[in-house]
Amino acid sequence: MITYAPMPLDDVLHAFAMAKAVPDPGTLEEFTRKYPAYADELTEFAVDLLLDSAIEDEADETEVGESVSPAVSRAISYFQNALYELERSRPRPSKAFRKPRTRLRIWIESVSDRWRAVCAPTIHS
Amino acid sequence: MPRALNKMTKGGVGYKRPPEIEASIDEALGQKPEEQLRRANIRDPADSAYMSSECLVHLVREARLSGDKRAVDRLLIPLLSRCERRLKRTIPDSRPDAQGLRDEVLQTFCELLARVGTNQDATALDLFECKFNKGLATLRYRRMRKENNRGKLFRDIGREVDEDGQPVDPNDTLGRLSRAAQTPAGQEDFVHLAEMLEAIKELPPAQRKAVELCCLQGYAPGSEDPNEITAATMCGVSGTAIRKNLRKAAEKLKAL
Repeated sequence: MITYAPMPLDDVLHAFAMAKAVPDPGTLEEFTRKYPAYADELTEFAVDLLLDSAIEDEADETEVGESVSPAVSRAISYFQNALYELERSRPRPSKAFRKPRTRLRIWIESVSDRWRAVCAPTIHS
Repeated sequence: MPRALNKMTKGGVGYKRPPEIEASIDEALGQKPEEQLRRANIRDPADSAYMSSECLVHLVREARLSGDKRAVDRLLIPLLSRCERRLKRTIPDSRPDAQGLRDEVLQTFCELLARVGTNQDATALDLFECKFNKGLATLRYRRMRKENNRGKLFRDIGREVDEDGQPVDPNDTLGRLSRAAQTPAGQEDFVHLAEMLEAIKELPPAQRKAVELCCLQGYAPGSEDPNEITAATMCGVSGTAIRKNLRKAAEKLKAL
């Protein structure tokens, strides 16, 4: 018998959110049957989406200007910090990787030195 | 042609943006940065030049991928401002620590944006390019689930009385609606809620607003404390007017 790794909850929620513009009982039932382990989460999420769909985007009357709200300022600062952390944790070429290049250079230099040493008397004579 | 989305469904099918979003992204990609920014700052969805939030997410992602830091810095502000406005409506001040919860959801969104162009997984943003509000709803749900405090939000409308001491909702119609909107909810609550929300759409605007604020968002109809944000202060009317509207709405909805 083939068993599949369970789908992560986030992926199931995303798939449910994508399934219909506004979730309906049929879609909820289909998903809870397909993913019984997440039945409670799906039902709660369906209620959330339903309530969310009842809230429409409205025109915002506040003046648009250069000013940024304190919440957005905090979020931007968080974004910059997250970027910095990700940059810092990015793997860089290690010394172990750089060493062979250095050894190769040393070897080439030593061979060329020896070659010069061998050739030099011949040239002078 | 906008870059294809990476996230796959379990069946191996890639996420696809709705055609109208695809078209709006196409249009925006052909515009100058100044025009993109002007459109991103328009706050009225009814304005013909309004840029959809899905499109705005795409532009920020593209700017991150191409290393255009200036574009990221400029477009990030209108994008995060939109997130904040939406979160203010979906995580109302009636909820304990509403601002803290909104901040945390915004931070999670920022973390996803920061991951773009790195080895970290940022495919969760694909949902935001298809259905922005649902993407935000998913982040909100995940955060709320951790907190598990939704039950604290809802007000027992059944206990509200008018100035004559008469119950506003004698048949518990609005009380049931309020309870159905709570989690953990059963599938029967979902079905009831779906029917009620359809019926609420048919109510006159003042009644609809009163029901939304008190039953779905958990605001008190009114308060003796002048500093408390209530449905009355939000609508600029008295608490009595809100209770009257709730009573009329309950009367109309009780047939369901």
